[in-house]
Amino acid sequence: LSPTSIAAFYNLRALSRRSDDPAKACRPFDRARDGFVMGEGGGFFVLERSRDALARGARLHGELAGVGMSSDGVHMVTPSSDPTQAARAITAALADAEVTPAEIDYFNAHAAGTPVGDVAEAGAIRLACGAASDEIPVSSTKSMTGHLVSGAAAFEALACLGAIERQAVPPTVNLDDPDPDCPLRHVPHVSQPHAVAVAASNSFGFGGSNLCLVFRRAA
Amino acid sequence: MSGCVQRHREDREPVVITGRAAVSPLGTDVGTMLDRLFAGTSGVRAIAVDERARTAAEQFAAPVETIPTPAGIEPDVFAGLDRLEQICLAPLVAAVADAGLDRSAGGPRIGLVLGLGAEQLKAWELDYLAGGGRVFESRRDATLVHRLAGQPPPAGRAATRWPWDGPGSRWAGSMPAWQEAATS
Repeated sequence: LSPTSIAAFYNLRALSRRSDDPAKACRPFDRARDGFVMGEGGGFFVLERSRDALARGARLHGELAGVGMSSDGVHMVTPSSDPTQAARAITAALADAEVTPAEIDYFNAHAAGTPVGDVAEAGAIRLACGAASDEIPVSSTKSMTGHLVSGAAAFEALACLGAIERQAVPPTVNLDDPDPDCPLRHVPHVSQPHAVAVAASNSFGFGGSNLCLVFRRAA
Repeated sequence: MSGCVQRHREDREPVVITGRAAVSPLGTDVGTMLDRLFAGTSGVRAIAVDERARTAAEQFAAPVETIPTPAGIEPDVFAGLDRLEQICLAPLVAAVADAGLDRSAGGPRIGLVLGLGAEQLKAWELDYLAGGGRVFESRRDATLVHRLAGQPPPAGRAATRWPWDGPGSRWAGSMPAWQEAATS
């Protein structure tokens, strides 16, 4: 967090202006969302080839099963309203992991709480996952952490590993009135027990960068 | 311009995660963070009013609370690091410890893929506030993260505690870092 970054995002009109109640300011997928909240943080992960980790008897938090990345390059700041490229990253990650949409047990959405971005992401998930998206629990943990910007994809991977570890899906807090333009199976307010063997995480960035990661419970 | 990056399955072996750590608005250890995440606890709050903030909307955020000094680093050394370096170093040390990797001779080589996009902003901001007009140059403005990503760390800094013996690369954020790490 720095004054410059907060001011810059504010001037882009990307930040929520709900200063009266900060904890309720970030409202991904909610009809009354008005932008994201700046957060800070970072994460690190140790990745190993499975055979090396097993040989040394390491504890396995999960498998990084699939990665898909795409770029839509429509605008420097505004996300593309066309979900095609973001969906392409999701499809690529699922293909890389060799899982079908119906096998995804949890989707950690990028959803930062911006009016345009959340709708675009919902469209991308629906385009990539089809009818299965009616059954996949989707939540945005940014509703609690704010947007960690460069660190967001790292922290949200941790949320996916947590879902696999705890066999539950974290909620989207402040989701009082789901936007009908974001037709997903939301997890409002409270976490839900749920069998999670495969979890996916979307991360989208300025300039049209799209990433999807797929994590799988380690065998 | 558009494009899509995907690994070729025939080129890959299963990749597993053996270490994980983070610092976030929900805490600085994984257990606490997950407890709060699954309890629906918000880390967003009002932050100290900065005289440069012009509006109330610029005065709330989701900050990290006190970052604990990582094991093996002197508290005064860690306290002297830039906050960005602290946010980087604390989970780095914790993730390696969580993985239970043997850092002694004969242990596995460890490479580093770093995704961090805020350094240039930080350097520019500090210079600007000091009245300067410098342009960020990575060689001249090298900080901890540069050193971790492959440059020999100067003696006396925290990075000397973590002599990476594998290759390093640096990316603009954690999104491309994941992609790079998965394919390295």
